[in-house]
Parts: sequence; C-alpha cells; structure tokens
Amino acid sequence: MLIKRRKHSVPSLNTTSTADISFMLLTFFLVTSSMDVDRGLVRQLPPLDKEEQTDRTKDVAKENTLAFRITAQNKVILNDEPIAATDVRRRIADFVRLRGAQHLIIVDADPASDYNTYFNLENEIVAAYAEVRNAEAKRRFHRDYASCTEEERKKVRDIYPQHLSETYNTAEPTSQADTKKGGTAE
Amino acid sequence: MIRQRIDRSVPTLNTSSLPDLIFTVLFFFMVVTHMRQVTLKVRFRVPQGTELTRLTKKSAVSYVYIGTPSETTTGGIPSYKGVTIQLNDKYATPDEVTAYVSAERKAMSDEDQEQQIVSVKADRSTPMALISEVKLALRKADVRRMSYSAEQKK
Repeated sequence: MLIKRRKHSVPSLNTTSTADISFMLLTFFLVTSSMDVDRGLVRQLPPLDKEEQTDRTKDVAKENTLAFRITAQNKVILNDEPIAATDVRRRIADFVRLRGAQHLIIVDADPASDYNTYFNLENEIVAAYAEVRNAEAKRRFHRDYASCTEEERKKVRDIYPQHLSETYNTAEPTSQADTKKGGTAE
Repeated sequence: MIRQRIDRSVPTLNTSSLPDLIFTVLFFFMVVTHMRQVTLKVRFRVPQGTELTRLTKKSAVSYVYIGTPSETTTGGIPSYKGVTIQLNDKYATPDEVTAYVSAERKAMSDEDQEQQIVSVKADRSTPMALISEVKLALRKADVRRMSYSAEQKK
C-alpha cells in the first residue's frame, strides 16, 4: 500500500493587520497624551513660623527696602510712586547690585488686583536677580551663571541672595501679614 | 533567435516591516508625552513670562487649577467672584488645597517628597485674594516650592 506523503509545512501567519492594530494604538496615544511641557516660574515658599520671619523685616532699614505695591487698578507702585512695568527690572537690578545681601524687596498685592500684574512683577524680580547673578558670575568665574558649578553658584547666591517679603492679602480683612524670604530660585 | 519573455508585472510591496515602523513611532510618542491625568473643568489662560523653568520631574509635581468653571450648573460650585479652584476632577475651596497637597505628598516616593513642587495653573484675571489664599494653604501643607505655570513669551 502506498501512502501519499502529505506536506506538513506550517502556513505563514498573516500579519497584514498588525500595521492596522499598531496604528490604532498610536492614534489612541496621540489622543490621550499631551505634548505640552509644563513651564512655570518656580518660587520658594517660606515655612509657616511667623515670629522669626516678621522680625527680619523690621531689622532692615527703610533705605534698604524696595516696597512694591499693586493697587486694585493693577498699577504697580514703588515707594509711593507709580512705576512703569518696563522700569521695574532695571530698578531692582541696580538696587540689588548696590546693596548686595543688605536689601529687602516687599511685594504687597491688593486682593482685588489680578494675577497677571502680580505674575509680571514676580517675573521681573526673578529676571533682575538672574541678571545681577549672571554679571557677578561672569566677573568672578568668566562664564554664565548657568554654566557654573554648584559651588560657584552658591558663592554667587551668597553675594546676592534673594530677600523677598510678601503680604498675603486675602479677602477677609482679619488676615495678618506674613513675610517670605525667597531663597534660591533656580 | 528566441527571446525569453521577461515578466513585467510589478512586484508587490513588502509591508512586513510596516508594523515595526509604526511601533517605533508609537514608542516615541509614549516616551515623550505624558497622559492627561484630569479632565479640565475650568477654563484659564496662563500668563506669559520670560524666566520660566521646565518642570521635568513629573512624579513630584501636583497641580492646582484656577479659572472660571466650564460647567453650566453653577449651583454648589465654590467660587470666589466667578473663579474657582479645581483639584483632581472636582471643584474645591482654598481650604481643601492643604489636605489635597498633603495627600499628594504621602502618595509620592521618599525622594519625590523632598522635591515636591506644586504647579498653580491660574487664569490671568484671577483676583490676588484667591492666589494668596492658595499660597497660604500651600504653606500650611508645608510645601516649599511652587511654580506659577506660564507660557514662554516670544
């Protein structure tokens, strides 16, 4: 008897639809994920022990302070005089360069003022400090603050530390003034 | 002379590597993007700034959204002059921020806890009273670093 030998080759898997499946996965991830990176102005918050911090404010003489006030009409007032938003950075930079560690910047925003004005002021303050520190880093180490080593940065930070005091004006009239000493914002 | 007939039919395109290509693109997107964690229930336009830092360490960031509620049912939404806070899919009062941020920190790993940073995504026209209250709440929760979320100014 003659048995015919059957060929037992395994048929190849049909993979035409794999592309479609992975396309669907790709579309799913495109829809559910967001590309935008979160950027922001990083600031330090002071701890909540009031006594020690408020005392620091009183130690600083009046001529060593820059008092910014934002009115309910979103006007920035520096030491009782209105100031244009474009002048803020230069004023702070000159002030900090002159006084070194012996200075204090006070920010007092009216509860009715809007966040945009406050944010722009805060942005200018950070920019002014960055400018002063960068100039100092260039003078001492002949390179940008950003490309300095950690020890060098710390030296520059010690020469020009951030001293910032903020008043927390909430809607209730009973709220007390707290101060913050900004440390090292990157 | 006998000429052999040449087969002139176009050969089929070999698509066996197509899934691999698409998988590569897929993995690229999975790596560079992050999943949307919450559905935004408030509308806001963040301010523009120049001195911005990228928040790269996503696992150490908690978000607080402040803006006008997009849901039409205004009843029961805690708001201050039409502006409200959103934490994790629900509207909240400034006092609830403390508890939320503390809970977020507990859920983080030890090294992230030290570097915790709270990103406040607030609308430009938010009254400062609300921002101050949120900042006070963050200080009560012993948060040391915060970020005012913004767009890069061109």
